[in-house]
Amino acid sequence: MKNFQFYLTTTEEVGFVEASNHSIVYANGLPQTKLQEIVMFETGELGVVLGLNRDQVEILLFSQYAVKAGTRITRTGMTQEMPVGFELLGQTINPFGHPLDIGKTIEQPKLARPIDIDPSGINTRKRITAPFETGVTMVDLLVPLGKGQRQLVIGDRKTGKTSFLYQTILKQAKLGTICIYAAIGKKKTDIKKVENFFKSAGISNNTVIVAAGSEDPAGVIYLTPYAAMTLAEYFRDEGHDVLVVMDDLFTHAKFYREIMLIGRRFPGRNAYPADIFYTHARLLERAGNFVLQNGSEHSITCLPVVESLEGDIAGFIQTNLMSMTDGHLYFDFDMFGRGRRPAINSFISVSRVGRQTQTPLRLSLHRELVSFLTLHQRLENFSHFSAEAGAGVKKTIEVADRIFAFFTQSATEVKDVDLQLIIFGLIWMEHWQDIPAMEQDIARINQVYSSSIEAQALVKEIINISKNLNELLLDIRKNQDRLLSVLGLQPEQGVSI
Amino acid sequence: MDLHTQIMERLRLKSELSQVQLCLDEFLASFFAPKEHSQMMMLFENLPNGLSQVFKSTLLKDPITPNNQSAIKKAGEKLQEKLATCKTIQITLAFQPNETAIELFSDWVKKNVDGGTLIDLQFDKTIVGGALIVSSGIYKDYSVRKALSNRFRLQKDEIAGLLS
Repeated sequence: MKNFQFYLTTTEEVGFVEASNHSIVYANGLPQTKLQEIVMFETGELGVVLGLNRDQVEILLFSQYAVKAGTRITRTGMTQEMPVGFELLGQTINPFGHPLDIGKTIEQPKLARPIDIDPSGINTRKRITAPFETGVTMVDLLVPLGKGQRQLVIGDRKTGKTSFLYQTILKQAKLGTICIYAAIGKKKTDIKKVENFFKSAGISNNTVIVAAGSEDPAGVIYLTPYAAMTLAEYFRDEGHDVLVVMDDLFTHAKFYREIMLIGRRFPGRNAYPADIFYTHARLLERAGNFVLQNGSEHSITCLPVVESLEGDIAGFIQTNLMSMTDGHLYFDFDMFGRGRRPAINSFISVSRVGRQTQTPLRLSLHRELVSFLTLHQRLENFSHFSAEAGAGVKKTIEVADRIFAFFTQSATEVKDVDLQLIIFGLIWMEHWQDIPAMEQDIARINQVYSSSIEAQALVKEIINISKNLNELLLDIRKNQDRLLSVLGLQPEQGVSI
Repeated sequence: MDLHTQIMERLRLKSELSQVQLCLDEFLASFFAPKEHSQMMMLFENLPNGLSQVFKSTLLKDPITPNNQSAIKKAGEKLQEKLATCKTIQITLAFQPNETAIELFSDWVKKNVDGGTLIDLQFDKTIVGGALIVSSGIYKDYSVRKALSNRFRLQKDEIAGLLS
């Protein structure tokens, strides 16, 4: 950006600060300014025009330092823009495209795009048909997602939401998707953790962190998800599939409320401004599956995060976001306490468009699994009342225990869906009886599979010819010895299938 | 002629307006309780000469009683409100103008812009000459500094050639 004097002599308009209230500044002058225009203070600070009154201009300040009354302001003639370009890959930037680390310099992209735009219309969109792999077995099998889907991640603090996001980004970045992590009002240490994780996982080149720390001005925090989405749109238009993680929109709503209350807007429910739904909806509407002008199809998948309080998912912001997304993953505090990793409650979680992207085999397995887990839950509740459960009940509970052990995975572990289908088939066929032995074998299978082309080819072959779960079980049986051998297991290690 | 018009006729600069506003604030602050005629006269006498004359000629038509003091206060408050909305033109010069120059500027502004407009004079020697004018949010740079920098920008190579 140029300096104050440049804009002053160019636009020939000036205003003077009359009053200042935290991040909101009231000024006179600037007769031809317009809404959303960036203005510059003579002290170098920037702001954006938030409202126009008869005699005053209302400005949202992008600085944590208060401005003095009488300070001169001038127009810049620009709306809020975000520099966009491949130069930003691997960087941690603020919503203005500047590096978050003070003193660090990055190559500034030559292009810039407006941050706050209207979502593109229906004619540019296409039905979501491609599956989106998260690398988390439980999600990929029970609550599958599609590319271009907006899936809310909801749960109390410390329930493993961030781990799930890490896993998803790791999986997608490895698949070539560009991942943008928007850290909204996070602690600087948390932002650093994300940055370090990306570096240690070797996915920095496919990721961008757009961040505003908790000590940043409210205006900057408010802009963060919009900036992340703008960057995502650029990469989409350049022919890439993009994943945007917004961590989290509850904080965003709180900062937006703060700005609006200081700006004397009429408070609505829970003191949020009346347009809070609109604010989030028009942001999330910018995600989806799109057809570009050259006819190619590229998606922006969005994972907004929202924190629930004491397990209450019926809060105002939470229900707003549920209604504007294509489903949600609920991270259950009780399940987390019981040791489930990920602690996703599959009965409360929903995916409205993910199933349409699944193959017949995955759909068949999904149906079987959901029906089995429902039965298990019913039996588990029932077994609490009886001292002695029948053999059938015991067996169901044992199988369910194995399935939950199969679902368990560490925060940095991502899995291939096809292999998971095969492993599930083996569990379903009761290849393992003992859970510790099963876990050991699965760990070995995952290790062997990642390095064995033969194993990958065989797994793919079996998955491709199976149209439903029964066919899959038959195919596994048919290729039993070969399959177990290429996966690093000896047939005699488990019970014969 | 009302109080506001009379005062505005005598004012030329924003700094003068600030002084009037300060005196007016003090004057109105003294109306916390009804006063005798002599006490009221003392308040009028305490005002600066010009202001005192205008106030006396406009507000002291009838003898002051405890009952009509509120009317004087109201008139003062009304004047205060009007003065707060007074228009100003900010003129930045490279020199400190003398009284004659100020008079000249003020006359021109009152005649050509608006009778109720005051001048906010600023001094900035970095503009070299000419003036910077700010009015109703419009900024105009008629300074020699700008003319010179434009000249240097346009004839940068030529000037560099002459200097080398």
